[in-house]
Amino acid sequence: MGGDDADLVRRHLSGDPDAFRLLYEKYGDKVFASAYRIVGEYHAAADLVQEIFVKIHGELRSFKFESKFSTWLFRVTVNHALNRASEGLRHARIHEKIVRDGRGDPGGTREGRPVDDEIHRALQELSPKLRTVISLRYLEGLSYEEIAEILEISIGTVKSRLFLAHETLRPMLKNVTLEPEP
Amino acid sequence: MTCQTFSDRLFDFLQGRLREDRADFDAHRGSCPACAARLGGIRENERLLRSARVPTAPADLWPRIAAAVAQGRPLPFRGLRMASFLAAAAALLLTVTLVITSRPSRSPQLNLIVQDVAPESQRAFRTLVPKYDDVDAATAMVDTIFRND
Repeated sequence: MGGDDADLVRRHLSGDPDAFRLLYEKYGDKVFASAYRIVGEYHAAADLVQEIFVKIHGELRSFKFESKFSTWLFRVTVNHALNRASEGLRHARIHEKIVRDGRGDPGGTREGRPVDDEIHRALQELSPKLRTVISLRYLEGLSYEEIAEILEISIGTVKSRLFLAHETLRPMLKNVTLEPEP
Repeated sequence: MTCQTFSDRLFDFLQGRLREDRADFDAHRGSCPACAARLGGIRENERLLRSARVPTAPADLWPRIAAAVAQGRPLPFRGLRMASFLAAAAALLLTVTLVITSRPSRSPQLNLIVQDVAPESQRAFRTLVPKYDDVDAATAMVDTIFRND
């Protein structure tokens, strides 16, 4: 566990009112990004992040300092987001409507490149489980081992899910091109 | 190396961890166009996925979390929007109800009759009313309307 995170968790547990805010400032956008990728819709992701942080605020006392805080946090995030996704949100359709309406992310920061919307739409065609491994691997930049620990699956399963996800994504992404950075 | 083994080693290769089988892997890639294309496709996917941007969290998310923690329950964004919608719908319903109840009551049958015959004469109405049950009430209503006109 990283020293900073351990300190913040301990400070929170000892009653420091700023510690939890600092944990949010460090991980809020990362958790939001993962939630957004998994559930596919901006406000649903915001609701989810709020629920997750309220949940972990109450559950940090049960946190065992045996794993990294970030691993524990992402596990909570992924489980919560997958449960929400399985409740029947229709991610791609919702997102398509939001993109068409041009009101997808009020209050957030997004530069709105068309390529990002194309990638997001393609990801919404994946099952939530495949979307999750893609998100953890390429959005969070986690190793196969870290993903396996978070999802509590074998490394072989991580790789097979990645393989299947890439095979599914390839036809949808083959005509997507990145604009050169100015 | 078979295509299946190539696929099994693919992510080790992409993560720079392929050691023992590296020569076989490279040989298979050179001799199997399908596997070479698959590797190229995954690399291109990875390039796109790593470059993809996602929106950041709403600026007011932390204040909501802090408030929710203080209250011990989340204050959902979508729930708030739904509450606003329901409040607006309730206000509209109340307004419509007040407008309707403040006017003299008419039965649905009478409304239909009046719409049907208003452009016509009273005589035309009297040929029409046998189709309706409450003829006396309809007649009285239309008489009132014509008298007012």
